[in-house]
Amino acid sequence: MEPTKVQNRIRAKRVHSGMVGGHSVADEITDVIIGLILLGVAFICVIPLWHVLMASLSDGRALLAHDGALLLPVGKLNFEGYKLVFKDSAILKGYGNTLLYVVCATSIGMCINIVGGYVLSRKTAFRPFMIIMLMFTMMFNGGLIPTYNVIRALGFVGTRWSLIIPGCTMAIFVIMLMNAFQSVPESTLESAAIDGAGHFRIMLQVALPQTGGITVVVLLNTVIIQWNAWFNASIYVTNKRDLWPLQLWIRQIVADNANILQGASPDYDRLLIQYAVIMAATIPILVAFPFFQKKLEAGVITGGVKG
Amino acid sequence: MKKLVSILLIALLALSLAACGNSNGANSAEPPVQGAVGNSDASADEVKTEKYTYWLYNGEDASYYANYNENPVIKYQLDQVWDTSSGKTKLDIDFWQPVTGSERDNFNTLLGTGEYADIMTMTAYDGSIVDLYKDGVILDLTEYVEKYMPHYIEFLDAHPDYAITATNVVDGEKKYLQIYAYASRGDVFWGYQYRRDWLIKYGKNPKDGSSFSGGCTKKTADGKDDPESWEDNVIFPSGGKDPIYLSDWEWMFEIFQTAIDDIGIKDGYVLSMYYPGYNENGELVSAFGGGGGHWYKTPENQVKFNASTENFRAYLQCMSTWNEKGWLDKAFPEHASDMFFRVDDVKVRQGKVGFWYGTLGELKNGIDLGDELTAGSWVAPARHPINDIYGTDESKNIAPYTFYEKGLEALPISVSDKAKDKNLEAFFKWMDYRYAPETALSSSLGFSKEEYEMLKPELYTREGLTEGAYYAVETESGTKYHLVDKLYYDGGTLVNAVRGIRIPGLDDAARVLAAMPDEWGVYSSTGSFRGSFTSQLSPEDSETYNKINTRVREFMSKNVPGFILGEKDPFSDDDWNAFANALGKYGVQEATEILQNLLDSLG
Amino acid sequence: MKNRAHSLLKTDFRRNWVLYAMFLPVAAYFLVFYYAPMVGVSIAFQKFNMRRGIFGSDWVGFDNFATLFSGDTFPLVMRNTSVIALLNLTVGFVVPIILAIVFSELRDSAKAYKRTVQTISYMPFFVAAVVTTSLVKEFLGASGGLTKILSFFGLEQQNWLANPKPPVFWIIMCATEIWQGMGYGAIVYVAAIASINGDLFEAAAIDGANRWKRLWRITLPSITPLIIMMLTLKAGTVLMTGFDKALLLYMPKTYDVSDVLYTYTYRMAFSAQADYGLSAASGLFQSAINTTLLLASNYISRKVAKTSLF
Repeated sequence: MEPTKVQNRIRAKRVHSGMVGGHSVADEITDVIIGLILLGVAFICVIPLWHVLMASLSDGRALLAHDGALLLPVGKLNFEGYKLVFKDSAILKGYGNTLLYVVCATSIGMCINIVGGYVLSRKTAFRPFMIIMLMFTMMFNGGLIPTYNVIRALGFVGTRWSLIIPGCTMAIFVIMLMNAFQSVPESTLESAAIDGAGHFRIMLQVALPQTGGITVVVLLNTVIIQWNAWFNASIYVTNKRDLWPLQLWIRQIVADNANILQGASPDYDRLLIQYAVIMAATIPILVAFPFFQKKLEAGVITGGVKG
Repeated sequence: MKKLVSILLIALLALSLAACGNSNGANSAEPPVQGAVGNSDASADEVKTEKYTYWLYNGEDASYYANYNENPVIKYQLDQVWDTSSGKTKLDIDFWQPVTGSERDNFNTLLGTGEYADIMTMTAYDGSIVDLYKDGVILDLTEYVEKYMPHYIEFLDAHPDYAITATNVVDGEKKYLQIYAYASRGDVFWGYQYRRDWLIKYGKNPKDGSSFSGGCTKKTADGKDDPESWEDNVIFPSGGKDPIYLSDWEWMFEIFQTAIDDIGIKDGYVLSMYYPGYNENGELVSAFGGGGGHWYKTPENQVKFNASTENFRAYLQCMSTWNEKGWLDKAFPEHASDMFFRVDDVKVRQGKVGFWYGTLGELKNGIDLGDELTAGSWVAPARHPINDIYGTDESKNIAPYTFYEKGLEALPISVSDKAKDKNLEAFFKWMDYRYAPETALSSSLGFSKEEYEMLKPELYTREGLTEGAYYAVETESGTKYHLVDKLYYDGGTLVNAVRGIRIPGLDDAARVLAAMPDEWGVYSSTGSFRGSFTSQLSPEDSETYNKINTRVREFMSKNVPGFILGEKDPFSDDDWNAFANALGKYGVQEATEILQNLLDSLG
Repeated sequence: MKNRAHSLLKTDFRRNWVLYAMFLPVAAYFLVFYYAPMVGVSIAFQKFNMRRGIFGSDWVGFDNFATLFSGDTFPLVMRNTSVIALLNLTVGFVVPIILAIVFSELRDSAKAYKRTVQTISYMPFFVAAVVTTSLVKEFLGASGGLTKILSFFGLEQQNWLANPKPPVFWIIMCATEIWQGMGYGAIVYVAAIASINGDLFEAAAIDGANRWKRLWRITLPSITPLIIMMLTLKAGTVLMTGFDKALLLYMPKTYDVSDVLYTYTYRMAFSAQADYGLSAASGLFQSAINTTLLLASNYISRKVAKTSLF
């Protein structure tokens, strides 16, 4: 196994860097153009978050008088916004809760996704029926109150379960994994079955490693959805602030500071809170992304093994 | 005696520690120690505790306390013991507080699933109260109000116009289904304001042509201008120190135009317009002798629809004239997502606008950021104007009577069937206690220094309010109160956290040396309909009225800007008639009749 | 015939019962959390009273739909919704794929650069819609940065969001959607391209295929099943995503081009008394269109590309 992996990686690298295809001038130019296009993309995409970051570090009064996107903080560099956000421990507790919900919901959600995706990728008589059953849920939903009744009947209201189980996956994820499992060559699975492997072993040890990046994409999506989730918490654990996830605290803090300009002598630093909380909520997930990206790039290797 | 007290205290401490252990210890870091002081007059063994749940529409900044029963004022009030027919009773209220922004979702979910609280703030309910009663969700409170709430009744007796809408008619019978919060005086927090410093710099005395002068005459302790010491000699054409008529306004606008040209402000303008060209509450439209575009009632108790009348036409003529003179912000229809009272706030605060509708915080040196355009700025309040220029005599020289005014009534509550078997006597005695003048002061202002020293609430100590929340000031018109500086200048979260205003009661905050400038309180708004009035509509009428209202509002927001910006001409009969006739088709007359019938039936 | 089908099912069960057993918990999850609440769909046919609930409210047949469809501006609303949805389904769908291809074409020696740009590219996804739209307003306002650039190219300086002429608002909506979602949308394709077997590229390169040819012969065919799946899924949800931004960007002046089903319903159902029946009817109407689109795109992809979701 090992030598093949390394070999493939080297081959892939050579091809992608254009070595095999010759080192032509045209290729060089194309590389430069691609680099420039991406630079443009990066520039366009960095604007919103950069603006938010700079606004969060600005002077509150000066920020109010400024219009247009920010390249640098206006006024004196100022960390008051962050101080106000982190002044009480609620937000730290929120981080802890969110982490717990992300880990639990993602684990449970991925189990459903993988099992569901695997079953749907196999040829069975009820496959179309099962797919349609899932797709249907993508388009029709019963709304808030019937959902609440179900969650209540399960005894989840007011508990952490209401934030972990109901939103842990969606039909689209199961279907994406189905597609990923389908891309695994039938022959691989058949030979495993002949070797006496059961469905669980085939699914987890043979097929799953070969699904490549899609599994990671689904995982990443689940993590992000859980990280950003607040609505369920606002309905199911309204009065249990100890259970609130980070994003709900953030909404509360922003709302608490929404009307500060009406005061006789407003504390302009409170204007910064709305920006500081966006940074506080976004940076952890941005920091975590390179981990996923490594896994995504590792798809090259597994892809090579199967050939 | 001392020994007894200390034994009691130790027992209490042990009890609360035990309670801590039971509740995971997660959120009970501070046992209610000072509570012991409040109920020392009652011997602990015979006092029963009655538990209630209470759905609050909004609470306070979460960084001060998690549950409203930790609010120092509420906590003190809840420590009181009530004599009821079933013995001494103390209230224990668990407040449910929705997340800001999803109040309605939360309320509707609880209502829809039957999980609602014993007591509910009804702000988030937009259906028919009578229906809710007939469905058995809320209780008839008449008996309790009449028996246990003498202070509430006393207020209603003194304010008959509010008493009319304090009850609802159920099958011909008047019943109290809701308890409203009432204030002893209305107060507003926003109004017209203008750059008086521009008048001083660019204006001339309309009588003798001399220049104006003015400024702050004193310095504060830290060497800054003292905003309380402002003096100037600005005189308006009508002769006073403040603008009264539209002719005063136009004189002022000429000067602002000069100022803007002279300073060289390219993207500024004289007057910040409301979106979408008029204000439903009335405001400037009411200067022309009527309502605010929509429905209003005349002093003779006639319900009228305003936008198809000559008054509204005169308003549009005035606006289009101002637009031709270049005074208006031509982009006003684009401010669809701004707050109606803070349109184009950014330009105002950048010092590029002469006249606008704004909040208290912008008055005086409120927009002075020390930069080129705002340094030395001085913002003064203006009263609602009176039209003396446009339209027919019917639109002239009439004191405005339809505009936004913080009415005396606010946030009603109802009691649900969940509390049917609870000791409601204690609850209503407590409610009434909140309408007693002596408690109104601490509810609406917080604790005085004496109360603070007696109770030592933790929040006050932590926030450095060791002088209490307010102090008394003797004035010609009797004793008034002033918030301590820290609260007076607060952005609005601490000042709310230290008082107990989220539960109905008598709001006596207006006895504070009012922050509201006198100019904003010259006229009183008698033409607007209060929330408690429209909530009296039958479910069917309410639905019809709301549908018509929605369509009218949409039609006007699309068409009024055209009249102001010169796409249509309010002086042309053709354009005007087309507009007025189109409005007629939306069922304006039907809605007028619905409101008139209700008004008549209430007497 | 019947017997034969019966025996076929029997064989299927005998062979696949483990798979069906595995699927049981998955089915249970969706039944409990998605199907059980679906009784709520019936609200669309009721004059819904929050207190009386689904089983106590009055049935009104298709009244809510009639109200929805009878508005004066409904045809315009449908036109705007369709155009914006179509833009999102075409341009908005293709851009992330192109971006992913550009990423994968970046030479391997620039790995750090690629990683940085990719991380940056999905940052806008994390910024709340309110912030994004406020930036859109700033950039496209009368003196906004983008307005200035456009006026440099001879376009009139103006607040672009207040422009009531088609297709200005539609382009803004689509561009905002792309701006916010392209990097995030590209992740799945980047992953798919990364898992293409390197040998294929090598073989093609030896055959003398240049970059462009390799793209058309290997990269695109390899990710076609994924593209088709994503397109089908997107067709099934295109009416439901991205329209909340219209509420933050539109104004009465531009209603003729900017009013979409989402905003139209929002104003109709929630500007005075909340009308949940109307809102549910609108939701059901959107679901019906989405289902049609989903089935149609699945059918087309089966016929044309010989691959389909189900």
